Amino acid sequence: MQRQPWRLTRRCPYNQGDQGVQDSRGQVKGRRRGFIRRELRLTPRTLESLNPNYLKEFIKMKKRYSVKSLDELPITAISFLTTEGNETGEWRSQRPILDLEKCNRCGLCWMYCPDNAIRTEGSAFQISYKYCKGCGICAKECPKGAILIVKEKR
Amino acid sequence: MKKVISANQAVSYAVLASKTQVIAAYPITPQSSIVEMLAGFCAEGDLQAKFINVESEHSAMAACISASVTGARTFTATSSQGLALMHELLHYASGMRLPIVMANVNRALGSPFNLKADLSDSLSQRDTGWLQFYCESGQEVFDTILQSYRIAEQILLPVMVNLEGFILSHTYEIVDVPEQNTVDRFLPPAPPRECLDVDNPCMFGATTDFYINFRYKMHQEMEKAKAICQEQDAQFQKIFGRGYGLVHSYLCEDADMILVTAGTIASTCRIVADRSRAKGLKVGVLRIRLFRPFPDEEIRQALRNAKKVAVIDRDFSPGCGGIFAQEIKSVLQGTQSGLPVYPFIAGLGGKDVTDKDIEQIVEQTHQLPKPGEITWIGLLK
Amino acid sequence: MDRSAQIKFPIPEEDLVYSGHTACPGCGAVLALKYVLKGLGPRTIVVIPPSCAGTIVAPFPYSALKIPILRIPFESTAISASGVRAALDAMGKKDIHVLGWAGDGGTFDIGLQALSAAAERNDNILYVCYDNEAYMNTGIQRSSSTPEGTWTTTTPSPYVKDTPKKDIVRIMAAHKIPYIATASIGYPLDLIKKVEKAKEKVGTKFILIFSPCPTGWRYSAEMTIKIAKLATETGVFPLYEIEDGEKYYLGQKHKEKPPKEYFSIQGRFRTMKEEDFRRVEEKVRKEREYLIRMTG
Repeated sequence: MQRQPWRLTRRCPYNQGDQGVQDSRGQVKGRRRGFIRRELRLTPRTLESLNPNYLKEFIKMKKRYSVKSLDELPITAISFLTTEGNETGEWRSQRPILDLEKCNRCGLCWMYCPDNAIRTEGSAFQISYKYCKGCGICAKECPKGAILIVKEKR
Repeated sequence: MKKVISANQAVSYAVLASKTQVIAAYPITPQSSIVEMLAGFCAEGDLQAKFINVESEHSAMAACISASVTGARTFTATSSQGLALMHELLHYASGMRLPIVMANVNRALGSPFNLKADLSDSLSQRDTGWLQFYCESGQEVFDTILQSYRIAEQILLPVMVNLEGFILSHTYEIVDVPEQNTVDRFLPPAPPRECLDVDNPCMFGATTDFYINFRYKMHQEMEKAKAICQEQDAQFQKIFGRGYGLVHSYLCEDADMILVTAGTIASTCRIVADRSRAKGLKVGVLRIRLFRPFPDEEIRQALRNAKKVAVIDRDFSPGCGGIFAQEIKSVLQGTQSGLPVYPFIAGLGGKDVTDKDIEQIVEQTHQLPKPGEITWIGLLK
Repeated sequence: MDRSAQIKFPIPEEDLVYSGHTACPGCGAVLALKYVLKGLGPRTIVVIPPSCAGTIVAPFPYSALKIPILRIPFESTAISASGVRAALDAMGKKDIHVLGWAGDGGTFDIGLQALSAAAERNDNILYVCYDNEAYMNTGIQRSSSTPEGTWTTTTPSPYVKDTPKKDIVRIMAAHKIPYIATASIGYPLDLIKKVEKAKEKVGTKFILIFSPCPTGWRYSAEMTIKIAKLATETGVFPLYEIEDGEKYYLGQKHKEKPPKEYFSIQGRFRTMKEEDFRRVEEKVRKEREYLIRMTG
């Protein structure tokens, strides 16, 4: 399951006015008063509070951060974006080419890639050139010689 | 309920009443009895807190920082050498905007080695971004710790409550320790804030070039802090019937000479002020309770009618003099031009500041038309 | 090749490390982190000091991991993990794993005091040291984990490091903590099994992961896994586990290859001579004998 922080939307039961009983996975069990759509998974035992508006305040607090203005910055250096916007493929001076004919789907290249640049597409592996840094570990470890390293053309 | 306890014990009772969740502290004279008593409360189950027996003060503050980021209410206590050891983490705690409360029992910093009262240890941490209170009595220590949690959790900056080693920490006074339900009315559980949460993962304490913006945000919060301290003190007064303010002025409205000081020296100053008034000299006493953020408006207000100000520092910044004197001078800058500030240094290393010493200060300030160099009280001939 | 062949994932599929992180190409440390997080799962909080890992997880406002990260001061990895654990326990969240993730600098040197204290208290944390055998993040300076004969920027040739690598595993074993293991990124499945075993235990668990660094060890980036495997096959970095400071379990990956094979492909060992190799062989043999004896 690909989980993106800050963009997870769930429908969860919430029993207003009664914190309910939380099981070991953090799910609130209790009398259902309906569903609410919210962007966080509720953990009412995160912080004790006598405040009945706790949930609303907690959600409001998770405002959309950005680095565009002072007001939109969090109060301290709390990272709120993932590194997926950083295309480390730009670093490459050599690139791997995967020959699917020779590939036996053993998954060793996927396992040994430090950048998780080898992904699955259906029942085949695929190299993400957006992120591949060209280290060459995949080619070295492939038992079938299915990966070839070639110089990057720039 | 009124108890006869030392200020150290008052600290422990206050932490018990605040329902702190994680305590990490390392013993150091004269703070050790705080830690011992808290360990006792935790062991008996009176306080439902995790007590971490750390191996140094640096680790004590590191534990408080990480526990606070996870969302718990934390506490630690230390003194001179330990406070100096945690120095880098004091910056870390305030930069991460954590509501940690720490009791610092003021003690002289070595070398030479000295175990007794001296405010230089906490004052040398004045740039770390922590709020600082200086207390005069065991009751004030108890009350200030309760107020500190409210203030810290509101502005998300850590608070240091200072009490003098041995003079306060080990002397027994009557302290009213209120019932838990009264304390709960003043101090509810902490409001929600950003913290480590596996359901909303993010990274705390990252490297950043936006540093200046975060410092500015801290500055904005510090500017609001004075008002919030006032507010919480007023709220405290409503519930408990006693309040302290940011500064405590005694007979300052019509005083010609005002003695400015912090901590227990103020008690002696008030006695000498009364005596001086009996002799015809109008003396007032201004005790500074909140040091960071420095209450400039309140101080200007208190000193507005004075003709002379004598600042008694139980601290020393080599190459500069008394730290309170420096701060008072900068506060008076641009307002009452010509209000002379007479700097005195007394009581370093726990040397007793007696009423005779204060009378000498009053006499000297009265006699000299202009303030000269710093006068050191209590030196060998 | 049968195109409809199913993909076999040799290790658990779910990944908790995002692409786009700022590790060097061929970095062993980020591989170690990837495998350990596969073993621990998403209900984990990690504390990271200034180190390669601290830089890898990217600056503000980015984060390279799908779990909460707390960046803490250098010497406080173990105590910060203990602090997080204490807070989680105080708040009733006992099912969240706490991982202290430090390099060899933050473990063998500056962080040793806090680690020893946490181990003595037996705080319920998993402390993992990824060992790249020098202070790599600040530019390849020597640490007490650097082996004898290594070039680093603070032990430049000909004054290469002349003292042996500190045996942190023996130090931790003296604390009699529930679980200690050495692991290597050359054997990911073994590493993940050790992490899964550790997370079931309560108390302080210590895992030392061998993480080759192409930048600091001076080899071509694609050799990272080969070098990790060679270290174990030659006996330079044996894989073993210790439970409660007393029960030893020796891994089965040793292949009695000559240590020279491991040393000669790394530029940092350029100044090593024949007598150095003989010395190392002797040491490796003694260490292996010791481990076999302890395994009983």
